[in-house]
Amino acid sequence: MGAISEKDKKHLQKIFEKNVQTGVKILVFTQEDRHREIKELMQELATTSNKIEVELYDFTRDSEKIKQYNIDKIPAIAIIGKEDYGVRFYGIPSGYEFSSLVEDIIDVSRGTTDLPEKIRNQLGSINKPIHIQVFVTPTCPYCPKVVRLAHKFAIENDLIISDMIEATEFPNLALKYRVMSVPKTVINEKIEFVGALSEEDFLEYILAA
Amino acid sequence: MNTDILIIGSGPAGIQAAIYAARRKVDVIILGKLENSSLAKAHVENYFGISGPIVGIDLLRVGKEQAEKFGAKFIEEDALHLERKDDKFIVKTEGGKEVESKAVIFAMGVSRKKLGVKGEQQFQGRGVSYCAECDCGFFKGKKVAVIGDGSAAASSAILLAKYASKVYLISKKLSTSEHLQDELKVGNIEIIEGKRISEIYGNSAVGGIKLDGSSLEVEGVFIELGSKGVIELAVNVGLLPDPRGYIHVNEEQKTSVLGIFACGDICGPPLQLAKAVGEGCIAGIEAAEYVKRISKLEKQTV
Ligand SMILES: Cc1cc2nc3c(=O)[nH]c(=O)nc-3n(C[C@H](O)[C@H](O)[C@H](O)COP(=O)(O)OP(=O)(O)OC[C@H]3O[C@@H](n4cnc5c(N)ncnc54)[C@H](O)[C@@H]3O)c2cc1C
Repeated sequence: MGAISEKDKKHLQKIFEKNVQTGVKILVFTQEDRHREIKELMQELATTSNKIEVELYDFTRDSEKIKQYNIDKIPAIAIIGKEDYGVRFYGIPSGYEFSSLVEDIIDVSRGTTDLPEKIRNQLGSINKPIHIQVFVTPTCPYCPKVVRLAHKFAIENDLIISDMIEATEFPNLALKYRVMSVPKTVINEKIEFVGALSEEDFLEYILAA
Repeated sequence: MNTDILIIGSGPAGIQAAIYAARRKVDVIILGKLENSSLAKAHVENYFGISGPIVGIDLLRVGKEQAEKFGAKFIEEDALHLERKDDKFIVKTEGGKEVESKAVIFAMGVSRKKLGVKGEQQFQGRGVSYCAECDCGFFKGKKVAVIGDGSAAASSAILLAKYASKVYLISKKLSTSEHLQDELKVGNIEIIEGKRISEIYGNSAVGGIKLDGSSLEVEGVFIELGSKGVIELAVNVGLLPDPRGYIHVNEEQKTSVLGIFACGDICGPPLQLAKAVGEGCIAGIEAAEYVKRISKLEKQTV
């Protein structure tokens, strides 16, 4: 134990107490005794609220769950609320991304986000599957903003699935998508952009995908 | 070092905030270099009470003297890092100093981030980067160039030297603290001064740069002009600028983080001297009031 400091735990307790509505499940997909760090981090996080539960799954043994949640690499995290909104983290959400995880938990517990009505309406009109991959590093201050937007979009539209991918933990993916700067976002394998965008501009790219 | 209020940025907004805060008898330290203020090169004609054009750097120098007269202390160094420790803020400067403060005023202005050379746009995300902290891991064992004259370029070169096989620090004229200059003395950092970069070239990704006609082969080009920007300093304390890089404040110049205020160009348009000093005035007053209030509370609880 000790992945989260006592002081941070108190702080988390407070904000979860105030903001988490319905129960949230954090599904953690790892392999055997690898990925101890991510398991510990999530389990400690869950101690800060009785509305947050962690379920651990094994990549080789729990093939049914792997299929159900469409997990194709590990370590992976799926944040599930009343339903599965398609919020995923691949690699440890550490550094600046820890705040994305915390804010995502709150949004998922509410099943809604603070996106402006106009954006939500436009998102509602999307009627085909969208897969957003956001490549990040833990030391990137610009990244959480993009991860959060991608996850908010996923929460607002069932057809959108959004992945945070820690680029240094998945070097072959970083290579495949030619990631040399983060945040880098890839939409449906065909549209990509580097950097942080406003809600409107990000949405434009999704609509074009 | 300890202070009540730390102001990051010594342009008109920061200096005006220093004047108001220092007159309220709280300790004020102000960081930054006058000559890096947007005003330093301006000829101002549209500011109240000034009719003929007046040179910006002169205004800044007089402002500095005024603030010093009221007790504000200037440290002409850039802030490299800001973090929260309990109820205080700690800033690390390019000179290796650590300043602990009860309140912070952001007055860093806006600065140019783009170089404006051929190939820069084309290769963004394909070897051209504006954030060494973010992207250093992608250049392990590779040759890279860092472009810039100030503390941002120097600190980025030092970081990148831990990953890259070779770091060329390319600068018109390097102007940074001795502390950073010392840290730059690493085997794989080479400083190239006085040469102009005219192009970033390559095929699908960066292949090199053109320097005064000759080429230098690199796979990464880090553009780090000026000082550490607002995003790098702000995120650690939980403050996120909007997508344009501006900080949102309320009518008391308070940001969304308790104890942090902001004023001047950093808060968005109009990017004008009159607005900068107006906001600086409010930020100085409000920060002083805030510090007095929490100091009183501290005394009561002891
Ligand atoms: C060529 C030009 C002409 C202009 N003419 C006019 C005019 O005629 N009238 C008018 O009203 N306005 C004019 N302006 C705009 C005006 O100069 C700005 O609105 C004003 O300077 C903003 O003040 P500021 O204090 O917010 O930022 P700045 O004046 O830009 O000051 C920012 C300060 O922050 C410091 N800083 C930045 N990063 C760090 C860091 N990491 N650590 C420490 N310090 C840091 C800088 O060194 C600088 O001291 C002009 C601007 C330019 C560029």
